[in-house]
Amino acid sequence: VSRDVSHSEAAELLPEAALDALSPDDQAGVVAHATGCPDCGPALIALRDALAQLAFAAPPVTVDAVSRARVRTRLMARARADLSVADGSQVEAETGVPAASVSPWPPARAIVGGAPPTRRSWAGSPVLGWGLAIAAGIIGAIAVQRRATLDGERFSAERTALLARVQSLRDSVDARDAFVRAVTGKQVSTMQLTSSAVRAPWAWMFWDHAANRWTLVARDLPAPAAGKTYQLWLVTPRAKISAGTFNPQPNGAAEVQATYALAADSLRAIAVTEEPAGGVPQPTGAFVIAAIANRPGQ
Amino acid sequence: MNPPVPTHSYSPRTVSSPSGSDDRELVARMSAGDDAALAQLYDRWSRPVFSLVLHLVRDGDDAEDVVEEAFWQAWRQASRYDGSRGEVGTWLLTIARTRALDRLRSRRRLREEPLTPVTLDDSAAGGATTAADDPSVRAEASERRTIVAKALQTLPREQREVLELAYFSGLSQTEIADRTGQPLGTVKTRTRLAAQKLRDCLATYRNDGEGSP
Repeated sequence: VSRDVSHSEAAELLPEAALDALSPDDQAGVVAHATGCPDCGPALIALRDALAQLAFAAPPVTVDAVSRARVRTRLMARARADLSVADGSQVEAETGVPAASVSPWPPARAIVGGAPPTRRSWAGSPVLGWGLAIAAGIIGAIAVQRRATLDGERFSAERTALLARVQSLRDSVDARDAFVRAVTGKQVSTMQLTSSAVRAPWAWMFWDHAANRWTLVARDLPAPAAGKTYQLWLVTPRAKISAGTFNPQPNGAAEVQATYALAADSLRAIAVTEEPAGGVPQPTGAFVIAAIANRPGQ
Repeated sequence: MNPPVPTHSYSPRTVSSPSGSDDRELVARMSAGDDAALAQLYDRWSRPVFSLVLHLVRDGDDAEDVVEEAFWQAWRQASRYDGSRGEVGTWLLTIARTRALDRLRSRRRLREEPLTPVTLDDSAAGGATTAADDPSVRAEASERRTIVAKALQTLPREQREVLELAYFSGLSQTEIADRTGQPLGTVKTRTRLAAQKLRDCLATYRNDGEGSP
């Protein structure tokens, strides 16, 4: 909404307009006048710029680095998405084909064409003119609708992919958080497993008593023999309990987690054996690494 | 015959800025679709922008939204930036202030919040001074802060008050009149005189700065 503002009135209201302190219609009226006025235009620009300097007078405040980084991430994601859309529009502008999709429609002339009418019988015919106009209108409407549908499908697919990606990242972060909790909790006890082998593999076992969570972090494990795998055992006075099988990475690293409730004083040892692929109910191979459990209070 | 509009020797570039050309180059690259330029501009200016926005909206979450929207608007409107109308930093801060005031007014409408004037003496929004990431921006912001503070000190207290209420709280003239208990005409006069005096002071300081080595 704007109202007509005279030159004298506009000149008087310039400072308030520069502060955006006028009512919306007055503001629009003054700006509209200043836009075409050789006197008020530059004067308004000068006042605005001078008043904008007040921003620098705001006391500097502590800004959380995480907050700034979060905004930056969101901003850049939006910019990249904006660019990808722009790229699509450019391709479309250059080729006439909607970006990221193949036009279901042949060129308009192919639809309208077919056997070209002879000029003698159709040229100048109002019937032909109206027919072409109607056909073009229908084709245009269908094309617009189809384009909207394609855009919607494309955005929907992109959104689904992004949501899946976000979920995947969340899962990764959750898994990492769980791992950190498992090895750093207040009720976590640790045992170091050692070996006399040449390569000297070693490992730490983190036992989260509160969560009944077992986390083995091993390094320098040799690759198991063909058809073999490593199996982790919790040894108690009555049983050797399998805590799962695993294969180390090429660099010998392995991280294994298992959940098993065990009384705090019943663990005697931790061991890793080499067993047939798929694991066995009871250990059959030699210990690759092992540790005697710390007794309660130790 | 048209009444004369006072003319001044004021130029929008009130403070010499060694980083100004860099900023303009960044905006030019942004208008060409270079998102790395947007990242650089954000890294250079996000602290001053955050400071202003936090000072205005006084809420961390709202401030994040406003800052993001301000830089997003700069990205989308980079091709419309006119260097003859002011420096990039001023342009950015103006966008940020406008968005922040939009947020404030929207919040007032939704929650019927009372008008809470913000002044330059009010430090509730923050406190400790932090350095900007970019030394040139830090130096520039510091220089400008000094100059603007000096200019504001030349204003009579009542003129400074209306200016701060209008700029930092986004109050209309009527709202300022209600707030201060002054007649509307008086508020308008004070605003006009304050704005004009500030402009003239800044022009003077600029000319002094240019004259110095």
